[in-house]
Amino acid sequence: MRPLFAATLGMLFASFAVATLPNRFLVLILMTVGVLLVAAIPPAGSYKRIAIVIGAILGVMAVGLHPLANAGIPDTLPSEIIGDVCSPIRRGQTSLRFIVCTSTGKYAIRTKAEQPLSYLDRVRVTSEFSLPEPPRNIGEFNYQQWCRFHHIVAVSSAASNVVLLETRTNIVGRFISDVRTWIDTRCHSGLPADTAPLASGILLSITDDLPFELQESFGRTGTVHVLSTSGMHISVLVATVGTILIWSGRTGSAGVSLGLSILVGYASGGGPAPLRAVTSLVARLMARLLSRSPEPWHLLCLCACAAMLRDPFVVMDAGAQLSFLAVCGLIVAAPFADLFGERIRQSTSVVLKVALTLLQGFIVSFIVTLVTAPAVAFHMQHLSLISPVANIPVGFLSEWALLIGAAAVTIGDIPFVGKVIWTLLNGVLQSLTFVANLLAEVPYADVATGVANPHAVVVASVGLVSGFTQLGRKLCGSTFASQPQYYIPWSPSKPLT
Amino acid sequence: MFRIIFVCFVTTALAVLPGCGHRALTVTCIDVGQGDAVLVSFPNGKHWLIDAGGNPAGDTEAGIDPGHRNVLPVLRAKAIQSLDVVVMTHPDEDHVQGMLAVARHIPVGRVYWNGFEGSRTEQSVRAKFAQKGTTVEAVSVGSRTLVGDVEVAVMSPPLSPIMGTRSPENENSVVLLITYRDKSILLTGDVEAEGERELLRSAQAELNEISLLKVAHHGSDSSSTPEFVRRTHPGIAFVSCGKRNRYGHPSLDVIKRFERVGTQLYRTDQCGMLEWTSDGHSEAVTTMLPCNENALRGAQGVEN
Repeated sequence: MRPLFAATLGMLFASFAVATLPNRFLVLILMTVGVLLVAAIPPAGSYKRIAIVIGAILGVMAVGLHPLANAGIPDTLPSEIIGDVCSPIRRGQTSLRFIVCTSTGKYAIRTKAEQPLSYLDRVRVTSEFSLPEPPRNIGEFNYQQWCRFHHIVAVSSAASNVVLLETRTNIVGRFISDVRTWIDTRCHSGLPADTAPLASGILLSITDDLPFELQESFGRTGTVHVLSTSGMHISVLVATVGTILIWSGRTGSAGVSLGLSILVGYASGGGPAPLRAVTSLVARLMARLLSRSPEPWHLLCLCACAAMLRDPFVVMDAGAQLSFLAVCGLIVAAPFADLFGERIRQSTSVVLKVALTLLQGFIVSFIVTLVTAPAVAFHMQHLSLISPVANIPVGFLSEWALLIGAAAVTIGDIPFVGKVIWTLLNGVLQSLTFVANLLAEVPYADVATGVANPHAVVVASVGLVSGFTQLGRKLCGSTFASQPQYYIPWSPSKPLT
Repeated sequence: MFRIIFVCFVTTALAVLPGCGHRALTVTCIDVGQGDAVLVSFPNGKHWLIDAGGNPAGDTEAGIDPGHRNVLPVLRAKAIQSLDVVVMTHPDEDHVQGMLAVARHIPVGRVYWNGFEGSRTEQSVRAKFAQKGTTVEAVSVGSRTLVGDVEVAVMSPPLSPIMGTRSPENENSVVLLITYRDKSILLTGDVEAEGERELLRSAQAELNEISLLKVAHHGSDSSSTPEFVRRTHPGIAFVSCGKRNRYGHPSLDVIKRFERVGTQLYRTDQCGMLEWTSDGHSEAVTTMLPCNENALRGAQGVEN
């Protein structure tokens, strides 16, 4: 199956690149393809040729049939559109921002804050639409490019007139939207005003109310990923529920976790990172139910295929690229973590155990930072030097914030116990804020990179992933890590009982 | 395999290393909307930032601060790790607000300002720099320094501040004259008519035939008097102003004054970021956005 996955993925990327994209973006695609293929192709074996042919056919079909592949900017911009609100509503101080999906493309809308709108509503928008503007300085966020990759054909002015035509009855979507709103409201009612936005950020990736200074601190320390729903969030929640339900038997808990992971992924908005995490988890849990043991590279390729089939433009998304590279980093770091894990298990001294655990965290964090560094340097134009260190306390605290936050939201109304949980959550969030702000103040916590050469990024990313894979084999005696087991303690690769 | 990886790393290092062999004087007028931010990169690798933009209304809502949105991305894209000098020409919000982001993110060697106590933002910027241990120094006319083989002279504020005008803060802006071999650059802050008269009076021949002028006060008709434009006779002029700004900058009268003396006028509202580069003899201007001839000449200028 490995060559099939690899070839399919490769052909998906390649055919899409050749068919629809300007050449200058080809290198970005090749970066992702290179990283994945270097990992996946070497042990392909004798089925490689057949796999490539099948992959090519699948790739061309997938790309050719995909409705988004040939989406383009219309010749004339309309003054009125009718469509569905197809993004979460982002509420600013004076305006609402959301995306409306129509049959001809997506439109980014800004309107007055008092509009009573919600996800999936059918609306009529009258506005002066314009094409997204290019960046006005070097290094700035390229909104025009972002819009193109997200199929947004035009943006509206602040003076949009939005008329609600119909409140849609997508029960699941509405339910998820209501759950998100409910969690956000609970966070704001249970926590002080200074920590509630951080709770919403960690639990729901809602950063609208989060102080810009704090967002900066996370950015400077290379830990901003804790504010976006990612594999960590889904894995931690699903693993916790699975562990709690262990009394019902491993198969039973896997079944419940399976459903929960899909629900959480859907609730988080279905971006590339949650989609990757959910696809991976579902495949793992399915494998567990079928008593199989999947390999991490297989899972990553499968996730890339799923993300590509949902939206071929995902390969252009900086978040998606970084998410996949971070998982590559976790996979190549796993043998080193396993090596330390063995030492930790063998050591009898508590102090040594703690020291080794911290060192293990640092090594993993360091490798992931290194593997993602070229892409971060290219996309963000700055690189956090303190990230390998910062990720240890910030990652630890945010995982606890996630777990305690989930508990507070669900059982926070119980007298006394609820108060204790909210207080505990507040303490964790305060600590997280303190640590992030403290580390952000370290001189040269992050450095400007000025990397503008995508070829260098491709070469460096491929080189780093290959290099760490080889190093893992040489030092730790395994070609590939069996699983990043330190991450999900009840990994399916463990023998079933 | 390890050889291949080694080659990959070496190639990457060579490709990534930015700014190698940089031997030109570069003046970058960052597009910060309605405000000013000018980055001067000297041939010896030193960097000075003159103002950092800001919202004229002083709005600090997250995401719209030009320091974060415009200035830091430019510094990062140019791989600038630290600034040797930061100059706050005067305390107006549209010049200093973005400095808060700079103060937080970029190590700064020294800060020059015009000595005029201003807005709360300006005070907090100075406090932030002082907290970081950066020397904050008020400068006035007569200060000169050499940055490699480039001379930087402070032409204003005068030793006796100009008072009793519409805006003393503007009139007493820090004005810098940068001289590099055959080329000279005049950065004027928001200096207005009286300040310009004082400049011409005190500077004599130094201000004749300027190669590059950063037009004062975003092209307002309270600055760039006909006499000043005629005397300085700039070959190239940069106007830093916001797209569809509510002040009507740059004034059509000012644009015509520069047109009359044959100055090639570039505007950030039409061309985005502007960059002037010179080896001391020849010069070149690049713009972030495509700039047609009409836009350069200001034919679409807004009537004030």
